[in-house]
Amino acid sequence: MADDTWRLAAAIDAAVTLGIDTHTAAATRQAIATRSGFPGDLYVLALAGGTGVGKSSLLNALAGSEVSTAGALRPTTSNALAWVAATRVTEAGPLLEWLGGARLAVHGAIADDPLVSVAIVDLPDLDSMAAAHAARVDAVLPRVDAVLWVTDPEKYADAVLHDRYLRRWLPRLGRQAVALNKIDRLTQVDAARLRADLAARLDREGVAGVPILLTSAVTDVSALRDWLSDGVTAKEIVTQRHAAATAAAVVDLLHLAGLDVLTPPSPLVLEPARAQALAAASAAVLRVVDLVGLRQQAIAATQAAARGRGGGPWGRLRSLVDRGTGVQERRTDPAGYLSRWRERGTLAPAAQPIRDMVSGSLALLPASARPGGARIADTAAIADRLAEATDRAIGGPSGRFQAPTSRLWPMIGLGQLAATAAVVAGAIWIVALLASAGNVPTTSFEMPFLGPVPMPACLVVGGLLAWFVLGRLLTAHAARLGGQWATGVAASIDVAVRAELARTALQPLDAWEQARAALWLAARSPADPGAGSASVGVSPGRAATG
Amino acid sequence: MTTDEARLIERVERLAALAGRTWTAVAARERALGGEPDAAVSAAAPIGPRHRARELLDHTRHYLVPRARDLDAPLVVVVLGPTGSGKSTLVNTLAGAVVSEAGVLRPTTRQAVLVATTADADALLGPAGPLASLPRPRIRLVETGARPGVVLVDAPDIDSVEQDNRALADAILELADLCLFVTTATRYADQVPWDVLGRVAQRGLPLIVIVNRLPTGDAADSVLTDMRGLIERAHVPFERMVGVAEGSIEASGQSLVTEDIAGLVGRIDELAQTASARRAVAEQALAGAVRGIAPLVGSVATDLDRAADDADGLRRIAAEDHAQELVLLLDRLTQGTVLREEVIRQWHTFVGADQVTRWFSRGIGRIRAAASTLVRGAPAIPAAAVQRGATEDLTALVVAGAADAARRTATHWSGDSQGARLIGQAPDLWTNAPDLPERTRAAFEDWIRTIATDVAATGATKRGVARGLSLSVNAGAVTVMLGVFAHTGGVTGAEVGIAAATAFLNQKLMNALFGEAAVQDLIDRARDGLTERLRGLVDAERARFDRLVDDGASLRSLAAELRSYGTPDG
Repeated sequence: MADDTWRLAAAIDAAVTLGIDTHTAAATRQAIATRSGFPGDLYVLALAGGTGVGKSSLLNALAGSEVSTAGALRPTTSNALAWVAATRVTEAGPLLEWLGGARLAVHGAIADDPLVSVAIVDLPDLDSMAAAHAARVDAVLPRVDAVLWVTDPEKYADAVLHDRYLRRWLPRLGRQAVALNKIDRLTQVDAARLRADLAARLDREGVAGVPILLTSAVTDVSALRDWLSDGVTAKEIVTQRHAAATAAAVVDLLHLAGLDVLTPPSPLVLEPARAQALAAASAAVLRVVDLVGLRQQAIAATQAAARGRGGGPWGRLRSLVDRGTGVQERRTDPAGYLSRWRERGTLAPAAQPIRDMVSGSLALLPASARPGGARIADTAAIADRLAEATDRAIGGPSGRFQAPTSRLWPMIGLGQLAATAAVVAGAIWIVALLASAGNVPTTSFEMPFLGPVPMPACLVVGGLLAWFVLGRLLTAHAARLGGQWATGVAASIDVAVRAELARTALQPLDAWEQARAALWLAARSPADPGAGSASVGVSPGRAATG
Repeated sequence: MTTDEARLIERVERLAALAGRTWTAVAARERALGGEPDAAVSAAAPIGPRHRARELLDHTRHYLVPRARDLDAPLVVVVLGPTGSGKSTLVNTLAGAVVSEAGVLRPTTRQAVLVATTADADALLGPAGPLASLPRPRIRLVETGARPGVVLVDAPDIDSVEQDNRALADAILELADLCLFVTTATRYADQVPWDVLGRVAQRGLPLIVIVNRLPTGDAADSVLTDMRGLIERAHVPFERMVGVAEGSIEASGQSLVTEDIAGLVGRIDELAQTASARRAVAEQALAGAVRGIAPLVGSVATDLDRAADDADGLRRIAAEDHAQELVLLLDRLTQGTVLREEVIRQWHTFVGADQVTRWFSRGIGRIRAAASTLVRGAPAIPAAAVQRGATEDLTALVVAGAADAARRTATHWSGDSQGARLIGQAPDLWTNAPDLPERTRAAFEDWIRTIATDVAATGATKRGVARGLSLSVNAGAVTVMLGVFAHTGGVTGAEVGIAAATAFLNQKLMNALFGEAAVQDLIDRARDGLTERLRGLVDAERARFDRLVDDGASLRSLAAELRSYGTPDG
């Protein structure tokens, strides 16, 4: 039999992710671990039952002498008594100590007598007015290896036995039997009917096939003797017990998570809902990132660059001023603008679709699993995750924010320079003309005319016109170029944000869905191999969409 | 009828009415927790508030009231005990015939067997009779061996896995006049039967104890002595204790050897034959029951007080979680990060337009603005768009807060046993109410309308119109709204960041429109209005939790009323 401690460990890990209470499972795990440190070829069999059913008498009958005090007054046994082979006392000591201690009674069994490998512990009753007795039983049961439930024709249908003990413990124990004691008080026919009635009850309580031993401390304990020597070794008994305890603990966790062993877990949130929530969250993130503003910055940045290279004297002057006053930094820096996205609003609206998606599906879970599920619906946590994803998405290579440039711009610059020269020349000319008007005869020089317009005026007006046209041309060209660039940048940001969100925004949900799958895998019976690991896999959200 | 009797009748009738109200409250509570008030529980389960409230109801309605009205009604003798203790065998012996089948399979008796003459049965089972409330399919009437005036009831067991049996046995215990409690040498120290004996003692029910299956020899005496000691130490008064030896059974296996219980049979015969003996038992039982009211009523009242405390505790959790969220929400509003820049930019385009800035610019800026205005004309006022955007942002914020408050409350409740059951019934409480976004939007629009009214009252729009700006009342309201969210906090307009710049310009615009003195008042009033509306929204969210829990005050007043009965003159 394979060691399946991993199952409980895996199940507890998964349950922690799911936010399910794992105290009981952890205690079971601890008990198994501790028990494994004690001898494996000696097992502890506890006699548990109501007061007066004859636990002590049964042990005495088995021993053939009075090892445990049986009496008419109720309740009798208030301290546990352990009956062990004299040869095993040293080994049994620490184990019994771990069980809470017991008075020792020894017997002389040796060699291959099956009694050598068992320590039989006579427990106090579980149903009397002495509350401490039941408390002792409750404390010991999680640690014993096997149990003989002792009852009698009067008490076999008691609520305390069934509701408080059998229902809970039958599935958690491996080796166990029910001794129907005081059978000497019944006719054989009645005894058979009673055994059938009890068997049916045990069946209904979830464990079929628990042996029912008909015993009488007065006349016949052979059924018990046979059961004790049916060849099952102590090692097997301890292993069985641990397997049963593990399976029951895992199944308990599974039920708390709202799953059952027979049906593989279907994803809590189906793909269409995930896609919808992601799309809505991405759109809201992008609204805060503000692609419109980014576009404006990108165009402005291109125009600033164009002014620097082809803007003529005025353009260069303005560039200088913009740089000096910080306008450039504020308005023409798309990378900086992007990186300051946090100043432009909160991501609470972006978290909403994801939160609503998770909260909406909580109702599908049992109440015990909802607090764990709700942990992934925390607005602040979702918003933080979205913020980190956004940072990663926009923090790509800064090269893509290199504003475009054009060979046209220096040419326009040259044109601007020429136009400037023309304006300056024309202006000087005019000034010179005005200054010399009347003083110097100009006959030596024929004023050139371009059509009806004198040349100086032509130069000034033409230069100014060229300035205006070239300036407009530059601006328009830069705007167009910048627009194209901005469109590309915005699109790349859009794609990057959506991709990053799709990759990481739902990670907690994915981890949660995976934990459900892992828990289910751990709970699946080890006896049915290969039925699951392929179909219940890494990406539960994508596995099923129907 | 003496005045004392009349007073007693009046008193127990009032108590019965009160017990009815108590049960209604307890049942409502159980339903809120997702349970069924009448659902049977394991006989091994500890006795809880629901059990006690039911006891009080059954006891007052089906015992105290009918018995106080008629002391001479047939005497109800109940045979009670654990499964397999030999109740049926005893009943058969008392009836002198096999009226209730004894057997080896447990539990034997699932029905209550009523050994009564037709006349007595009619009297008890009639509409006003004490047994009227018992489920008829679970009662088998037998006339064989019945004695007139004495009704013998073989109750089902009190401790087997059959949960319905315990419920029926408990109900019968509440309406009996005399209890024959059967136990055995094996059973006599079991906890569950002692719980039932405790109730027998509390309600002052006359008691005869039969210890069956005694071992032979000296052990029998020591068991009886031990039992006697236990019962005395537990302060359970009893009329007599009868021991029956193991195997003291007739050959049929259906009845005990009569000699062993001759005294008991004699006692029952005496009751059947003498009306005065019956009356004496009835009086004794009634007196005991009246004495027993105070402790039961006291513990039921304590249960109600605890329930009220639980309810208050849960409400407090919800109140604290929601109050905390409201504080956070209001805090965020004053930090100026409510609105997305996308929304603010639209307003910035407006308040930064020359048409607007010329009012408050100085020097060259003013001239430039004035010149530009002539060329470009008035800017469009994006009031509707900004209002829409602001509504959207604020709604998201409120919904996020409410969802978190709900989630926190639900998580905290899950850590409490009552709370976990309540929240388990209401999975929708893990997040905000589905119609909260809609209600928030409506509240926000209403808020803007209130601001608009306020703005109109200050006459600001007139001034706006006079300045050549066709400023609608709504645009004025948006200005004030932004003044609430994007307050300047002392910034000067030169700061980097559109939000601060817009706040600065907006402030200037407000000052120009309303005058500096009026601006602060307007904003304060608007902020108060918003706070009040947010509080209303969050309160409504919290109320969803409050509705699940009991009204602590009404439970406490019920408890107080019950306690006033515990006092002798109540």
